Amino acid sequence: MWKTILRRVLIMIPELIVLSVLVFILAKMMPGDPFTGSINPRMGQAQIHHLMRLNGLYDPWYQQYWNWVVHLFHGDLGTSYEYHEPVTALIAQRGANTLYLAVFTMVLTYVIGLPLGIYAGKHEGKLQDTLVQIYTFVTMSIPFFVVLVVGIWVFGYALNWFPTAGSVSAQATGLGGTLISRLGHILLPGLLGALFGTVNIVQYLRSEVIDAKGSEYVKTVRAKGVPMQAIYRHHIFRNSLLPIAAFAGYSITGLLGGSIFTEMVFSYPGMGLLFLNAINYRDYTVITALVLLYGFLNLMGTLLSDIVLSIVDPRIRIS
Amino acid sequence: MSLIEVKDLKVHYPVRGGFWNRIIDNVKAVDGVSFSIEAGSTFGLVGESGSGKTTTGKSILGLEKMTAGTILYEGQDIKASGTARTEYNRNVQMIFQDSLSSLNPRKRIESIIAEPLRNFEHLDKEQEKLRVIQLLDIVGLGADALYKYPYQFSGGQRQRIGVARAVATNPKLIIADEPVSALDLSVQAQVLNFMKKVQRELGVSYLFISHDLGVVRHMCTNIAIMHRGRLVEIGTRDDIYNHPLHIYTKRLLAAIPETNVDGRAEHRKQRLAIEKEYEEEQAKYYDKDGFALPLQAVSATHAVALPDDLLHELKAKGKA
Amino acid sequence: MDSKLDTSKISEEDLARLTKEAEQEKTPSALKVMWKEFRADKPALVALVIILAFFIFVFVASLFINVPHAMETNIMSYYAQPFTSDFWLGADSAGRSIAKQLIVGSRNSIGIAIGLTVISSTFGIAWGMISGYFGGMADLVMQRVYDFMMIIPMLMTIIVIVTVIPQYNAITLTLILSCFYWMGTSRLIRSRTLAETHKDYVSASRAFGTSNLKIIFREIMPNISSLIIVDTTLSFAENMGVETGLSYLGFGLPMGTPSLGTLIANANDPENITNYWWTWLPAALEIIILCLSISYVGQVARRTLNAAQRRGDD
Repeated sequence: MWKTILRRVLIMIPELIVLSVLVFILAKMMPGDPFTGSINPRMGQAQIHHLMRLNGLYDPWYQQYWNWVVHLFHGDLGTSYEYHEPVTALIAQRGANTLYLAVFTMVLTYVIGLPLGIYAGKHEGKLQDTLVQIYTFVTMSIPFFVVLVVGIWVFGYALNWFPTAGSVSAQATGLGGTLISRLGHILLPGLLGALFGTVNIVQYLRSEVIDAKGSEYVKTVRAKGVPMQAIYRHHIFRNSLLPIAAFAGYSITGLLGGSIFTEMVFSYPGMGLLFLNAINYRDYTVITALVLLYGFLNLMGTLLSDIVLSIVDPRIRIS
Repeated sequence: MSLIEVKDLKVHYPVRGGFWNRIIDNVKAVDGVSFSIEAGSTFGLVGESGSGKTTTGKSILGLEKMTAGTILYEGQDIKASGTARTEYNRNVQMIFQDSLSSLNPRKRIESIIAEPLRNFEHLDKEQEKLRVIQLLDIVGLGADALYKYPYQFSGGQRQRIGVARAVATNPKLIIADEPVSALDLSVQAQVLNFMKKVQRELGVSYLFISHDLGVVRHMCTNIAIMHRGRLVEIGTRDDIYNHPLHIYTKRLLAAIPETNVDGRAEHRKQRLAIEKEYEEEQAKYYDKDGFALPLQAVSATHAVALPDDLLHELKAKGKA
Repeated sequence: MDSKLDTSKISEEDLARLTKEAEQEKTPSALKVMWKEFRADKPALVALVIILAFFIFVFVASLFINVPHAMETNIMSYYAQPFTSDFWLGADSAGRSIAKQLIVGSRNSIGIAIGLTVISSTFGIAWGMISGYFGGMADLVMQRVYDFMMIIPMLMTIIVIVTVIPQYNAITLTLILSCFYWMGTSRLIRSRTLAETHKDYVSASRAFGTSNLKIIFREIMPNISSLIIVDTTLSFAENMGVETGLSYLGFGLPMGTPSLGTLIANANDPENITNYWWTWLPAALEIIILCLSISYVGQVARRTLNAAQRRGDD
């Protein structure tokens, strides 16, 4: 099994290299330079040229790429032109916010998705099942950003139940107060993300339960007199648990992609909002670092899921 | 000159493994098989499932890649030139085991049968239609089958459509891969008789692949028995059925169900005796890896994979 | 051998009659089966009619709208109230008619979604079928490309590309988006093609000398046509959210080109979202209704596909 894992990790390396080159070239092709229109309008053309030279922006691209990679391995992603801060520090600070929201959303997704999937499978073909099916249909059909906008309008502005911007209230004091305020800020975006992100889990579990109900081994256990409730708990649910857990890795891609919209709508200071600002300010170093980081996280998520699934399902391991 | 001559055909599949996924072993699906088929005759290739008989058939047709070996068609190596290859493809066709999955479910019978015609003969629409009707007629189906779909026919009818398609380009050789084993017994005879009729009328040769020795006896003039990728015995129908020499052949023959109720006990005793002999003497007939020994000629038509001592014994007996 | 067969007993008339009979008892095509299912399912029919009628309406109505004129700033009608004879749906902060923007924006967004669906599905189908049919080395390489495309942070990359490209319009945007939205289709089609390729009718076609391309598109494709129809419909619903989402973020259609996304982006201003709901809510509702309708049509199509598979005649 370690061979499967190691081989899978090795496949990852070329992907990572291609990704970094691609991202770097894209960032370099951006129009404008990061200093024009910067905070200091008195800066002259000569000074800008000087700054560009100082930052190595006139070197050939492969030279710049190489410098960047060398720095990368030293944990140095450069300095943000806009925020005048090391990119690593900037990302660490904003990344924490995105992480809180993502973890919260994922936990909620499982909390909502697991029971719904089993419930629908148990009651296959009945009214309960139909209702769950309608729910998954609606949530998978509507574009997520529209959900967010309508959500913040109804629950944030009209009903005034949730804050509509930021990650923590300025008035919050003490550890407890800050925590509660933070939770308050991620509650609505997290709930919306979870409610509209359960489709895969619900549909997978539902079909697992339905398949298992008709399978020979469940019929056998049932014939031996084991109650259906115990069969669900000990056989069906346990069998589906690991594949379901493996979804977590794949869902990282969706969560990260969604974070850009969520943070935009809720003015939530995470990496997604940082990226949008960086694009507007042509903040190369931040853009490059963020795209690479997102790609890296996607890769890690996929890797994790692949490995978990290959352990669960020997058929995948062989191929 | 034989119509087709297969020489030392090998089909090996690589087994990959280890960290770098390198080829660490080969599965020898077909390992050094040689035989030839005369024009207008039927050659039976018999073996249990997994013995490599289907792979042999498919590699002759070009559906499987040959690892080694040569195929001579009318004395010419088919790998020699491109034009020879096209001619070969036109003259060697196939009947498949599963009549349902071998006919495209979305196509009408007309276009299914016309498929080889469209690729090899360029007829106009009217000619093509008439030709398809002719072909349907050969296998006893009416023109009303023309625009139907495969699922509208019974298994036996579908297999006859398969026969019609195989003979569409007037081939010299048809590879029939278990053509009737998926059919009911009553329908089997019907399809086989149509195959024989086609042979009489068109002079086509068959490579008849089957595990059913009863059917093979009915159809074939020459027979080869295959086991674990190699031939264990090859000869005429008389050689195989009346003078089997290899222990595996004997065992296969003993396994043919006996319909005569009177000799039931005796038949059973004989079968058990052969089974016992097989268990005991198996090692003698196979090499250390469990593969059959090389074939040794025992008469002009008959060759058997016998160990040397048994062969000498046999020859001594023959002289005495 | 021709002499042995009597073909003369089949007359011209017989042949013509047979052809006619065949036409009558023709097995219905995937589209026809679906159409039958739709006629039986009233809500599905309503959804289909809503979609088609709406599409026709916006495409025809936008012909009568002078877009540059409609996009001109008009201080006089700053945040004009909705439901008046001049402004059916009011006006935005620049005094531009929301109703006109909605119609032109719908046309743009729907047009891009259609273009995106056609291009990306065609590409995905071809990719999946070739990858699944040939297998081996070709499949391996194509799968690696697929894997790589899957880990790219799609939204970010598109935003970067859109920022990099100095000038673009609806067509170039559609092409850029198409590069990133073919993977789902290709994966689905590949696995089905793989299954079909192992069936004997494909071996038969090979044995009978049919070329690979013909086998892929003439033999295998008809067998997965229902799947293609269903997948394309569902992709279409999904693709409605792609350009609109980007335009919402400000990286979709260029300034001055209305889109449903830019209309919804009005909601980014807290003032708009609370007090001037008409600037963004109609566009949001329209997207929701359209996506639900298209998706529902896709679901019904999928149901007929499943039913066909159960009957075993797919």
